[in-house]
Amino acid sequence: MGTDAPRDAPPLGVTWLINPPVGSVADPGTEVGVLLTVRDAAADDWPVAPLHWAFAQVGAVRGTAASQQRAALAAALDAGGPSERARWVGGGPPRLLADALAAETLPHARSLAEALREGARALAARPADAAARLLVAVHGPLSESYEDILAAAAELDERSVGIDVLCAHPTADLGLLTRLANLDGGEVMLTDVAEPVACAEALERRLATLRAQRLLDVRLELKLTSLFQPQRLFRVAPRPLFLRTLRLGPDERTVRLEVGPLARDDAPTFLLTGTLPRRRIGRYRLFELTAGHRTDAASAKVDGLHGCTLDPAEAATVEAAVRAAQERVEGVAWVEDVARAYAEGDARRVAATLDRLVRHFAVMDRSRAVREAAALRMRFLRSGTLGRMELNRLRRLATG
Amino acid sequence: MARAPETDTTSDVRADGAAASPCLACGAPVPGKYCPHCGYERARPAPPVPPWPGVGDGVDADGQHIEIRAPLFGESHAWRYLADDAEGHRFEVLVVRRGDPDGVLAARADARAALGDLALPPTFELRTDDALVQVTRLPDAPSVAEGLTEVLADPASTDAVTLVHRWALPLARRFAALHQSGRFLGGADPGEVLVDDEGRCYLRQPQRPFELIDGPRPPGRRRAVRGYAAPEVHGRCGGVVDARADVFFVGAALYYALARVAPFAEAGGVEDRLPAPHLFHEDVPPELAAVARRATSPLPTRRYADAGALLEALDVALDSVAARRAAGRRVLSLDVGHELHIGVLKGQYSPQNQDDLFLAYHADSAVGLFVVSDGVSISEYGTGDIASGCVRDEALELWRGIVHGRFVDGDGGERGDALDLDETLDGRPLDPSPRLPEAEAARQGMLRGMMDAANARIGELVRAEYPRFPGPPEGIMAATAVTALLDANRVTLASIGDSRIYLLRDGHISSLMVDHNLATQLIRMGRPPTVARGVPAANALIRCVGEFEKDAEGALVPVPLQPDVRTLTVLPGDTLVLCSDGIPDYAGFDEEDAEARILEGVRQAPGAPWAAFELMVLANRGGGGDNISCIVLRFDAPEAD
Repeated sequence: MGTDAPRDAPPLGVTWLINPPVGSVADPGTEVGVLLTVRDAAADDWPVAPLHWAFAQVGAVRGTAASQQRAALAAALDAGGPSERARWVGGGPPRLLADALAAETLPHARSLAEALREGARALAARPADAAARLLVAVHGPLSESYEDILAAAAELDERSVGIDVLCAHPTADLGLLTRLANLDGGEVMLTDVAEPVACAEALERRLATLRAQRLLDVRLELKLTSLFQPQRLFRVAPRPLFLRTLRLGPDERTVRLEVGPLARDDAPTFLLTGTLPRRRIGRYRLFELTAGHRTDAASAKVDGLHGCTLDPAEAATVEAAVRAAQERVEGVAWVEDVARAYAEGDARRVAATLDRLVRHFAVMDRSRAVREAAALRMRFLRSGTLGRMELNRLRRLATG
Repeated sequence: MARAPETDTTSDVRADGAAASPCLACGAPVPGKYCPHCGYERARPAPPVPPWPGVGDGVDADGQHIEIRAPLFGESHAWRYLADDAEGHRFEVLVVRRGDPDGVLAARADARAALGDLALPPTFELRTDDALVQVTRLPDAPSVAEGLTEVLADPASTDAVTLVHRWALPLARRFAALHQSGRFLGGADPGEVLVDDEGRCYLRQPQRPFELIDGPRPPGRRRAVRGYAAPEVHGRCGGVVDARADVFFVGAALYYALARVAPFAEAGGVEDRLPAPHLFHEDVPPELAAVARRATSPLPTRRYADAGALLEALDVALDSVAARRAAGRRVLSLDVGHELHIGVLKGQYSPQNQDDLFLAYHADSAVGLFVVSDGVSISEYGTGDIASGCVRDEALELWRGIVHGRFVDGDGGERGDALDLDETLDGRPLDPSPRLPEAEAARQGMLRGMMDAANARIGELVRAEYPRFPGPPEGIMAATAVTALLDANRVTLASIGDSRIYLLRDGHISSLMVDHNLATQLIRMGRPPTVARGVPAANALIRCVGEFEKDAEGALVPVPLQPDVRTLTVLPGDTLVLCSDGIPDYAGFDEEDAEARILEGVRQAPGAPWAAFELMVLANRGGGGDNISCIVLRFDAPEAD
């Protein structure tokens, strides 16, 4: 793929695959999938960015879970390099994480919005080349208004501070948390506070990526031609995630996608689905893709070309990797469909989508997930109710 | 000619500064290479036409002219053609650009070496100024696609078993040998696999096999031929292929040989399996249908592990078909079990069980009658339980007629009409031994008559309350019915509605009858299965006991019913399961899973009563959202054997 790096910008590599690689005049309206993979093209030449991060707890953690979480944070602190800065925010003035951990009790933020605002302030002062990240542990359902939370998150976004959500409680509002994390390519780690070991592992894994990041605030921009009608956007790797449904206006042809930080050997992959109408035989440019950084000019630019043929033999060619990615994220999308149908009170759709989800797990040969989803479907058929905890359980199954 | 997608970073601004011309696709001005509006490429490559690139109209060698007839699907920087000579020999002509930039020749040689006698060696090669031409003489053998397409011209005239021997069995043998050698192809193109009359197979387009020892592999970019490519070739089911993708290919050939229909595009999906082949032709042996459906399961884990296992199952099924055809009248030992249950979930909101059963078996004469009926839940006039009760009552009447010899005369011949009991005038008691007419048509007529009588009985019950108004009759109670009339090892089966009769044998399960619902009807009419199954009310019954029309005065008149009927010769080891849809709908999370569980449940049960109980438990464990009824008939060789 073509890479055209400006002089002062870290180089990026972007590759794409389209399925079907050649469309057919005979089959207009079939779904087309575009798989985009972003890579750090600098190899070992580009320096690792110093990391400034802050940690906040929303809601108190007590007992064994609290002590194990404290130990996990202490271990994370020890693993940090000399250029790393870690702070504790929320429940009082920001302080160094090491100081906070020395205290007997860890103060927690009263609300998520408070934690976000504190985090924005704490991470405001940092070197220009440093990466900034706020890690929020949410320990229960949120009671504050979405507007407050989103306004506080926007403040972080303006200051180029990314958000990761850790140890979400089973009853957490994952829809909102995912939206927050997606502002800057963040992660929502679906570990329960009741499983502190899993929480510590997630924290360690995420910090390892953040510490290895070379390219900050990577962003993709897809300029679509009028031919391509985009539908949905997913992240496929490192963890499947439904990002959003794309509803572009008639004159709006650009899709922006925040990739977040990019570490060495990282290759975040995204899937864009859409449809193509009936068209002439020939070759088309479906999109023009630019990869770059928020503050810099584009460092990679490629054209997505797609053929259209009358020859059925040629049109039968498939790009299996794209279809495999689609299948991987389908389950995630269906869980969100279940949540939406349940919120709308459409029990028939909930049951039907749960059926599809069970089928999906069977197709993926995940017998435990099949059993759990089938049992959950049965409970729904008998009781007519589906709690947030059960929905989050489905989400964990789908992303597993 | 297929080309890999390319990255093209050419500027939109034309270097020669020429004025923008209108886009051929949308009419917008195109200043550069691509239309800024729709993306259409200005200088589109022309598809190959005669004179063919690289060879003109043909190839001359040793005074022989090989004329190009048609292009074949090719590769990058290479063209393939089908050609023939004056004597009618067929050839494949491969034209590769000078220098072979994509390594096509090397890849082919590599594939040939790995495939052994499955690949065809090139006959001769020619070099031109800018290309290398490789000519391969093809054997006098049609491809699988050609052979199975030819059958479609007159599908009813060809016996399914003959087609299986001609097309599916050689493929199964060849792929079994390939797997035995530790390799697999991950699916094949039926247009490129040639099978001669002797059952030898050849790959016209050599395809490098994968090594089984390396485990499943991502298939990457490849042709996925409609109807023959397994879902995983498309990237589904985890996106890796193994020997099971070959099993799917062979299974698809077997399926199309049995069903004698054009390939289904749905075969590459994972939503539903292919429709039962006997839906298209009634003469499909159930054992072969079961093998074909298992081999073409959308889920790789449900297929045979490799072509060797498929071949073994196919051989056993063919032996069973031959044994069934050769079997004469023979009394078998019969074990009978039955269950009737309301369904745990269904019972919560509908206290009346609308399923009903009838069983009668006379061991001395080995004659029996078995009926399962499922009442339709929604009706304005009458209820489902009354409708299924009508079927049961008429089954009882039929059995009484059989017991009293009403359907045969004194010589054992057929009677045109049923004798009335009063006709025995000599004062002797009636012969209590059940007797059946010899002719199959008469037996089928008895079952049809029973269903018509049940239909008439329903009409009698609702006639008084049914208002006389114009328009088609609606809202009348109805029921499904499946019946098995047993005479030693000969079973006459009849079905109307969507209750099931399954044959279980040799670790396979096959539905013997066709569901009379809208989806099935649409599939038979040629609609794609996924479309047919997705229409509103796809499960609505289109045939059932409870069909009427109105006379001129608006009174109900029962219409003659059209149940499906067939005859089956049972063998020792066969099990028949007659059941309402409450079992297959709830025993598993899809039909295929349910059938696998039914098979397993029956297999593990020590006897038919336990098997019936297990089926009832299975359906309830899966939700029990419908009434449950089943009869299990297990046939074995008599103890004297």
